[in-house]
Amino acid sequence: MKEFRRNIKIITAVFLAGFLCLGLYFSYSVTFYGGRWFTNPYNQRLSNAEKNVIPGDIVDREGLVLASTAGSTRTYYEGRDTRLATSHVVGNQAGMSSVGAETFYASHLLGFQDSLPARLYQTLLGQQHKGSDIALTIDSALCRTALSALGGYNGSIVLMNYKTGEILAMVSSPAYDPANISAYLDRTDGPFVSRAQQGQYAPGSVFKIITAACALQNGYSISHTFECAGSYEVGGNTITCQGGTAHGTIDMETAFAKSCNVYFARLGIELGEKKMTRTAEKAGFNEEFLFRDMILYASSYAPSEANDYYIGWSAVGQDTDIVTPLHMAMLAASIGNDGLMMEPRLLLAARSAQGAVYDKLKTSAYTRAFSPAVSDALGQMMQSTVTSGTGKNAALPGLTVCGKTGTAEVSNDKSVASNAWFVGFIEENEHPLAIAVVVEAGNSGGGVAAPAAQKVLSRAVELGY
Amino acid sequence: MRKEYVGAVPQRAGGLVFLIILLMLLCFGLLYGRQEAFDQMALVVGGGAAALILLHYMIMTLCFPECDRQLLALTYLFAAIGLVMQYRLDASVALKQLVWLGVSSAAMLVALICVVFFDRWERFRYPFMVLTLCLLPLGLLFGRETGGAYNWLQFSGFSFQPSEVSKVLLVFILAAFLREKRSIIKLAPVAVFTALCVGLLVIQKDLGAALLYFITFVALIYISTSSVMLSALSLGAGACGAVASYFLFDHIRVRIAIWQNPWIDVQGSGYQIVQALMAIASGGTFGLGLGQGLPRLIPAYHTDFIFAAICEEMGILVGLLLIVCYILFIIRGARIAMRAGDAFRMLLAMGCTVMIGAQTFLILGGVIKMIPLTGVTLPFISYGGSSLFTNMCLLGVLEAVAVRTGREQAAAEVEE
Repeated sequence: MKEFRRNIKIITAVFLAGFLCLGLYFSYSVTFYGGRWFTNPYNQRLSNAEKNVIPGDIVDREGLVLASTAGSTRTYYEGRDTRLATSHVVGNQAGMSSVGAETFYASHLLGFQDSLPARLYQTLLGQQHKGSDIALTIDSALCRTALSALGGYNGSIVLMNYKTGEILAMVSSPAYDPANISAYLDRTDGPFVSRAQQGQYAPGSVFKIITAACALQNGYSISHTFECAGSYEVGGNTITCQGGTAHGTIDMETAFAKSCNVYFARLGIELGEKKMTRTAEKAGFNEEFLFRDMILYASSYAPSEANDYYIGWSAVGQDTDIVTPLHMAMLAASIGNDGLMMEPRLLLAARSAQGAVYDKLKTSAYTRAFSPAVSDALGQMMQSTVTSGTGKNAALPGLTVCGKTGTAEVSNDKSVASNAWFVGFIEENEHPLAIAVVVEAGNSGGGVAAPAAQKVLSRAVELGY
Repeated sequence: MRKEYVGAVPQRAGGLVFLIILLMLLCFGLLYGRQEAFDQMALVVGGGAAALILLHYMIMTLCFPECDRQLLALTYLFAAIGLVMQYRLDASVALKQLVWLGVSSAAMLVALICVVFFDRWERFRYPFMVLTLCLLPLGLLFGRETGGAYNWLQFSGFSFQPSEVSKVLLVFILAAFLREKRSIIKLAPVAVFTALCVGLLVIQKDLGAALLYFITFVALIYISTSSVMLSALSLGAGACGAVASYFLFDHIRVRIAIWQNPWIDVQGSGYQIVQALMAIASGGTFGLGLGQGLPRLIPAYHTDFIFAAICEEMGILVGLLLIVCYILFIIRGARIAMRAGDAFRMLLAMGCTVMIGAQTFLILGGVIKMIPLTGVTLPFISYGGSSLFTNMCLLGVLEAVAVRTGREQAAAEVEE
């Protein structure tokens, strides 16, 4: 009998542990995934609410009304340029760009976040339910500049404040006009895709930031040298430098500035996949981003095969490496911020129909990507890239721009033009700006992406950011 | 007058029961005024439920003052929330559920009386086994398919699930076999019998019930033998069976795939669970309010997925509180088992507790996507006649054990 009692206690304890897990898992999953479940385009509660609730306005950080409701129709800002430049961030009521604010913040806009008394008040007064207004951190003037800086190319630009994580501009091209969706439905070049968040690009030489960081973390110095003959034989295959240029015996700083593939491939091979993975994952690779303010697709670092050839190519951002432009902006931002990567923020504040302001911007660190010492060294190399390397076109008079270019091959035989990259930041703390630019088929990071970055940065500085 | 034994029986849950009835009537009041035209039916169902609960509580406390009143109060709470939600979802279903509640409450009293006044249930173990083995294949032979499983029988508009009712029999059979320590050889018949039941259920695609039978078996084997090895062996056998059925049956593979990622096929196989998750998330912490959400978008909203409907309208907080209430239910049940006077009744009480607890865990875990979904009902809350009937019978057995313990202890005190 005594034994029975003891065993009953044990079985009960097992059950209680199970139920405890149930409660914890339930709280965890609704806290972290609830918003995403709710704003899912398949949620008919949203489309149902749209019929009964007047959705709130969406304004930019300057108070410019980007989307509002007049009568029963949703209207977007009257200037077409602004509509296009903010199309992916704002989204549209038809839910065509599924990551836009119209969808992601539907629970605010449709008043699901209202407090119980506020709802009761509206119901008792018999008013039509009105949702909250939201203010975004973007500046629509900067968005316009960014979209025009892409110069008609497809691609994306993300500009953010590296101290707070606020996104000041985020554009993707081709953009669409939310006021005239039907004209874009048959397009095959993906106008509704927010390339900044959903575009999965090969990073090319931009990834050398990670390889360099990994080397610095593992005892290599910035003056460590390798011999570059323009190509490097590994396991019967060849890793080549852009245009077959032989850089000779060079140190890390020069190799970084000149974007030498052989140097970083050899570095990556010496470091090995395990160490590279550790560094990359600390900087947000292979991670499901669960940001409070937006959806961001994952970046990945995982060499397709565990042999030196693939490890070498993946160390220079080819092989199966994949990144999103926003993640690359966060990477540049973390180096500007002494290695601390901030969580990107898009929501400045929300205001309920009764005027109560809630969900005000709170900045928070996302992860420590690099130690301050490693971050300093990376910054130094990025600075010489702009002063004397491939990134000269990004330089701004009177300011210290640090950056890295990339020219990412999308096909093995160069039949498709390469994507041009520039990521960088302004070192001066009065202008804490970080940027990522990707230009599809731009062919030259230094020649196409860097000047675009320069345009956007100089306009941002002009506007006082 | 019988002296009250301090600590053995929880006393005075009357206030709690009144509070639960009040809460339920408030909810029905809300539903009464939900639309422009007042809904008289809400008052009928609400009043009927209140009267039924009061009557049941009075019978229990007057005839069996030794019963566990907190367990009763918890059951009333579940039933009340269930009825309110049923009514909000579909008034005609709630009316049927109310009738079933009445029938089940009577059945609960019958089960209680049987166990309180009749002792030699061990003797019926073989007839019970035969009865169970006759009942279970009925679904396969005459059943119609409901939600992919062949486990329902239907007689003129009234359907019935044999696998539910035989749960009570199983608890009796297991308790009778395991009440004294036996060698592995002597345990063989009951092991074979359970395996046979589980097999029959798996063939009928009634995975939930199969799992419940199995879990109850393992739990009682452990309590009876204290043998970790034997329990591990049964668990291992169960795991082998699970893996085998994964490869044998398509629908099990589909279930696992949905659990891993329901978002791949939102409009198809993942539809149920995705709708449930969206409903839960829409409700938020405090819910959209009774009658304010769209819980009817969730498939099986009044049976398997009622928890999602409750979370949508009453809030995640109420969902968490419900989990706490089920925990309390299990603790009360285990307490009754621990205080029971002999091994048979201990196992009987624990068998009932495990059966109800495991069923709750399976469906709650399934709805919130913690474990793969198995289609079982949420005890006392979900709509379902056979399910309510069975769980009330299990409750009756539990209360009977509590009553017996109380009477024995009172008698022992009088002797002193």
